[in-house]
Amino acid sequence: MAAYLFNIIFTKPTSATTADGLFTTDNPNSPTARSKVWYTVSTAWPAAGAPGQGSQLNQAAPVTSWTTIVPDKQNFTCNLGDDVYVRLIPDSSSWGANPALQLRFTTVFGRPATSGHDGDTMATPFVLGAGAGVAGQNAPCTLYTTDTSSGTGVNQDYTNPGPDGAWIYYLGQPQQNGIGQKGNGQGPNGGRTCVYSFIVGATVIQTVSGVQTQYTYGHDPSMGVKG
Amino acid sequence: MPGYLLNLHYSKPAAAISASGLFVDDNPSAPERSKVWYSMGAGWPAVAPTHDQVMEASNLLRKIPPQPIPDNPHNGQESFVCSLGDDIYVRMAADGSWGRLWPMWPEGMKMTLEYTVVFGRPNTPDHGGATLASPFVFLEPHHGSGIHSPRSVFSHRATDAGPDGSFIFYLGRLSQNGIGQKGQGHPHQPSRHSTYSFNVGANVYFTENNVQHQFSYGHDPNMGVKG
Repeated sequence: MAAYLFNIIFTKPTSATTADGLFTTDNPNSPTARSKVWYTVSTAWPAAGAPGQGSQLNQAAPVTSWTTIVPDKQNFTCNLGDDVYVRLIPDSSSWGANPALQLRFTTVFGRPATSGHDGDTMATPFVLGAGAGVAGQNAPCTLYTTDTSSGTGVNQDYTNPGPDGAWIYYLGQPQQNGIGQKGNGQGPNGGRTCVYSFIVGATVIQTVSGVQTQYTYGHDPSMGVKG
Repeated sequence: MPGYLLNLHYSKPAAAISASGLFVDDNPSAPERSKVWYSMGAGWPAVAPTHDQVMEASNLLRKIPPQPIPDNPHNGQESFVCSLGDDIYVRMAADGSWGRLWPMWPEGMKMTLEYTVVFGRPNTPDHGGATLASPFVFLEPHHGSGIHSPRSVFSHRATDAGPDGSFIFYLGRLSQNGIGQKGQGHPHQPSRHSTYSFNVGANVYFTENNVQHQFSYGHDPNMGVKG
């Protein structure tokens, strides 16, 4: 199976009048400034295999050596069973070297897929792990977050970046016809594509001289899943 | 200022084959409706919200006109529109599929909810040339690049439901032209409104017989903001 990584860059705004709450727009002319693009991942990556669903991958992603790139707005599609990652990385020109950042990751699927999957409309092509949901195996996974705070919302989970200064999360493998899924029994159909749209969000904290400053970013990618 | 509440119901799917990962669709004849915006009127909440979760019953069943406004109507009618300075809430409530004991769980049963709201799409049309992801801003020091930096991500894990068994969260007060915002300098113009679309997601953890089950839900509302 193939693997894909959605890369998004976040910039430190110089003032509120330039802050729009969005991730950085793609710059096709700079290999290190490709944002809002889907990379086809080399077969050797990640070396240790995919982490648990929704987990952070602490391994550098050599994105500048990956040459198959699809901008998000050009209708990216993948197949059932492919591995899908999201990578968030600070723009070094605005944050500077060693910016002392921590990040909380969020992804929400909330829009019915188009077209309907043989009449079965799902929000997401990802499913919860075994044992999740009384509904049984392959219950839909709509929300990813590293927020596991159990109290007042103050102690939410922010994590440090991986070795390349980025945060990489594994969403899982798209499914549409699995055991117990709404599409089960329909059979994969390579000529059919369901398009899912979702929003990736990040809350970033920078600590300077003991003072924390918070920033938020969002983007609305889409992904087509064949089968 | 008026307050508006987006009400969302979540069902317990009988099996994965009937689970879509979406919140319940609106039923206009139901006493309490889903995927609709309620105008909350003056006096609610009785205590001004100072935190993410509002621990106060919504009393939606006792509400009188105006009728709630469906979110994302499919009949071509304009959807929900509000004004600068209005207060915005999101409420998530379990529907009757969770059992007759809802919302008062007996010993050994418990429901917690982790919610996320993410703005990640440029608003339309542009706000005097300034494009924002979100009409909400940080008001505290050390959040973003100065006061009124955009807030694209909201997240909170609630361990207890409110007194009516639901989970209500306060997003904040709408702002587009504030000090430091990209729209500053463009005067309020009530005849113009910017439409923001976002995703609401929830992970519901339901403990029954000391076994915890996870379900996830999503929806993609939009809101027009005048001014």
